[in-house]
Amino acid sequence: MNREKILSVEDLSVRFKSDEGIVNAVSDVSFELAHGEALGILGESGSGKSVTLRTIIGLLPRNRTDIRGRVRFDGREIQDLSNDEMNAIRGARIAMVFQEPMVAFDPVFTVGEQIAETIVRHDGSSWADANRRALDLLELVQIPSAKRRLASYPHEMSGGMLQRSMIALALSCGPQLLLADEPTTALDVSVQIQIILLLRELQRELGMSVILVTHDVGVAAEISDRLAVMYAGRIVETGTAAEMIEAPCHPYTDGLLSSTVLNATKGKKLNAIPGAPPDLIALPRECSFAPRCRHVQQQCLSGIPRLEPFGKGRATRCLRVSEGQLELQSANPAL
Amino acid sequence: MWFFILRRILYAVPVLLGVSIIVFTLVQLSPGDVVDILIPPEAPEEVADALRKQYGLNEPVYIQYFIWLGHLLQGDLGTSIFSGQPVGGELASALLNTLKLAVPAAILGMTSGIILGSLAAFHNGTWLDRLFSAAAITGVSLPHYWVGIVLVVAFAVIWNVLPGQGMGPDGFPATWEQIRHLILPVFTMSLIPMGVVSRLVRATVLEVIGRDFVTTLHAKGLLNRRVLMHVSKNAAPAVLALMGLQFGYLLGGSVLVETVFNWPGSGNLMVLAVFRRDVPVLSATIVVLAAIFVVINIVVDILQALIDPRLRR
Ligand SMILES: Nc1ncnc2c1ncn2[C@@H]1O[C@H](COP(=O)(O)OP(=O)(O)OP(=O)(O)O)[C@@H](O)[C@H]1O
Ligand SMILES: [Mg+2]
Repeated sequence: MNREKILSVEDLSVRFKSDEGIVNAVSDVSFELAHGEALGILGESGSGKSVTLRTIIGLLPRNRTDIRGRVRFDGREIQDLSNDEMNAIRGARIAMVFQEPMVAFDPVFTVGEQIAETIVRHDGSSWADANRRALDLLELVQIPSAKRRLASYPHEMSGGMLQRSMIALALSCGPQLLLADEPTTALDVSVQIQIILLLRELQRELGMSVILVTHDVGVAAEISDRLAVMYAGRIVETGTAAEMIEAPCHPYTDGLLSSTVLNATKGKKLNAIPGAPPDLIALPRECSFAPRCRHVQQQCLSGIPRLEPFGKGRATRCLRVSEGQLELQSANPAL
Repeated sequence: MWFFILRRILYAVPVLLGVSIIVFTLVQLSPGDVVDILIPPEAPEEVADALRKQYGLNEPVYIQYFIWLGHLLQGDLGTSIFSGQPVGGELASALLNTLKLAVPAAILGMTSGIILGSLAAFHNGTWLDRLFSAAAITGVSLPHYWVGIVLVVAFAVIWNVLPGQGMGPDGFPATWEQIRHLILPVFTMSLIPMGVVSRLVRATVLEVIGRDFVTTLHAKGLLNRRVLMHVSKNAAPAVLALMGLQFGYLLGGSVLVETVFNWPGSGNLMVLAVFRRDVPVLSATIVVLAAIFVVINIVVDILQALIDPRLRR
């Protein structure tokens, strides 16, 4: 991957002005995504995953929102783009799949119309051509009797089928970057696996870059080349998926991994992380995970740890890495 | 869809029967009968009895109802006791006069209501929103007969630029003179539909643009006019229901506005019928208006189902 990255996010901070105070939803987030790469973003509810995705595609509400930092997509700074320019990119070159397919479609238009209108909008094709392409897309995402489904309304379809249609919609203009925000959370477990396999297959086939947001380590591991773990609006650890799952180094990643069923099935103990994430309105000026951390030390309370690179393309916001204490840890990751 | 329409029409039958029973009962419950009004109190009892027999008033009540209903079903609305003319003709001309006010008032009030309401919603929280919302609330809360009187005083009495009374020359309003007579009452009658429609449109549009699917529309990069189309189609069923209701009210003839402008419409006809104890006119008018209401409702239901597939059950 020596070509330019498709996406690079640099020091992104997003704050919302609310009645209670300023919500620090995302703080100092930086990452890069190569062409054809799949990044999984993991983290608890409220850790800023959706806000990060929505910033990239430009979907955050404009008023009472303060966005700092830079997002470069395909060589262009998106914050420098006009509304019209950004609108032309949305749906065409960056597409998004949402968490709840049941409410993500307009209930009074057919699924076919909703896919075709996107094609008409961006490719300027005729409605007849767009409908034909919509049919191809529904077949691509393996919807049974696709022709009939084109004329179905959202309420006539199951969640799994709607999520397949949502993926078809997202792929309709051949995007270079696909953002998937918990695409399986609202679905039955058996359907979840099908959707994940479909996404992985399509990503490899079409060579798209993908960012997949999820709570589910198993899902993230299945699709992603790299993982980023977010906590209280910050990336606390990033690295290749295989290495991170094998040897997590931030105590939060560690806790997240051992609190999943994935590990339980491997015969390890299932642990929940004690405590709750901090209030985003009053973020501490120290490591925000410190109150819940098993390894907390005096220095942890003296400032926010930097995202420290180590190993092969890994990085973490934990003093134990900068201080070289971690070698002990990675030998016994599940502790 | 055809099945839906058919069923919807069949449902109307019991509703209309119920209406006819209620109307008949209420009119029966009112004290005194027409005979008391028609003849002087000192007239001999035999004359009164003869009249009662002639109008079928000495039959048992339920027989009277079935006779009346039978005539209704054959399209015979009865004969006015006051004028001796068939009710059908009087009612038709009164309804036509009311239509001349109600249709333009509905078009004016509802169009401006939709425009004001959507503008307010899309500029939610700005001074524009506050201005339009204030206008809508004023439109709803001013008593419209009072507005009518003020307008008559201002335009007809003080400046003498517009007529404030009556309909002017007969016939379909086509000439300038006829249209001039419409201006003040139509404006007055349009205030309430404008107010209620704009408030509902504002609330509905705000609710719709807060729904998740609108985010998807933006994520697809759709142009604003296409997004607006999605939002309108979703907001339409609720707004249509209210517009149907409001149009029904306008057709019922705004009694007060018709009185202020001395307009010979259905509201006026009902008031006169009450004062004259003209039972056939009164009951026929109420039943016909109720039937119109039911028809409007069916039309609204069908339109809603055409727009929203989830309603086609
Ligand atoms: N428009 C907004 N105004 C104010 N606060 C917001 C807004 N959007 C998001 N937030 C807040 O930002 C924080 C991060 O939200 P975000 O949706 O990114 O979390 P998440 O990681 O996606 O969580 P989940 O797993 O529940 O989806 C939350 O505390 C949320 O309440
Ligand atoms: Mg989210």
